[in-house]
Amino acid sequence: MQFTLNGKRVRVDAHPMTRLLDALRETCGLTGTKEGCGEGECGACTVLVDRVPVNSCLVPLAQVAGARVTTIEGLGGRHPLQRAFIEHGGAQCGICTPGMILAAVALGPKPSLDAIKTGLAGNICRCTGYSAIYRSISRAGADAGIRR
Amino acid sequence: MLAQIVADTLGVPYEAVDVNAADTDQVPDSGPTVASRTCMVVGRMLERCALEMRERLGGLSPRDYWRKHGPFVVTKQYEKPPEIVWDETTYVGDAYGSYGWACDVVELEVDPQTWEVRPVKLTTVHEIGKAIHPMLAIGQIEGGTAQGLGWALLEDVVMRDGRMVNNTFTNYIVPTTLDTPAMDVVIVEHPYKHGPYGAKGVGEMPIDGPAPAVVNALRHAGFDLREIPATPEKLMSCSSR
Repeated sequence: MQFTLNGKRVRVDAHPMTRLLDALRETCGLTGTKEGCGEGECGACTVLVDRVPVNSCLVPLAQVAGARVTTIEGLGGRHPLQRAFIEHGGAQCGICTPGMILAAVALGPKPSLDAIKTGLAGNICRCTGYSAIYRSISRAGADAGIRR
Repeated sequence: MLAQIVADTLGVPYEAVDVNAADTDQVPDSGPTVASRTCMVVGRMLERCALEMRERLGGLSPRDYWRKHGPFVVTKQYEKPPEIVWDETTYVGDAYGSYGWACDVVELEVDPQTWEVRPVKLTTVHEIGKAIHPMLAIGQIEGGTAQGLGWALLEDVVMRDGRMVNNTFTNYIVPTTLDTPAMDVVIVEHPYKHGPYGAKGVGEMPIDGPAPAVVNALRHAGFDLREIPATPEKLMSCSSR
């Protein structure tokens, strides 16, 4: 299976029905993507496929053939959202964080609070009560234009 | 939080303090995990260690001291504040020296057709002595409060034959962004003299207040609710009583 992973063309030899989540974590070694519920409810495993957030636990590998997949590693660690989540307490235990950040990337620059709430409604966080996540995303948008 | 107490007391950067992973093979038994007292008890012991360490350094930087005199170790033990009366053999007295205090005010809307309850706004006030790391303390309060609201309104554990039968996010509902209201968090600092920098604890406290506040608000709206979570089914049945 060939696709673009974090800007690089990759070829992954795995069964076409392998969950994208497993292909990323186990075949590609990118363990930044987390498995929460494994049934598409919690959003922890969110990645971007052609800029659209998807639950990678529900996507068979065959479905990303030729697509552009972005994982948390693709943001490089210094993305304004990543820095804002650290600076404003948007991450506590960290399991939801990669999915939250990628869902926020998909919102584009300077989303309204309503857009953030709706855009993250599929990403469950047990630690923060979401407020610090809203603050992180709002400040990241204010500090620098969010790159997609 | 613990590293921050040591770093601030020693006057060294936070990054210069390493925290060992706790291993019960290496450390003394500090009793049960209760009362969110780590900051107050362990934090205070660390503050006392760091104060003695700073004194022994005698104005030298840790690096210069090491070169001149080599390493040294400071050990401190918990000291019961003199005003606390506790009998270790009969377990009678004040087991805990002090607590944080909190108060929650919640505003709700009830849909008279679907019986769904929507928390609109929540104010939560916490007296914790001193917020060692205010951003993390606020995060702890917001997170615990959201969990408390989930307990009050959504999270219904259904047991059958000793097993939880609704153990998926499809049927065990925890609050999402759309279920969690705007929160107004207020921290009140009334320093406790036996805590580090006056700190008490905050850990478990934020989850305690929201459910009583929700039930009181529903009673204020005329619902004689005797059980949580206040699911639409429960509200519907108690409104017809």
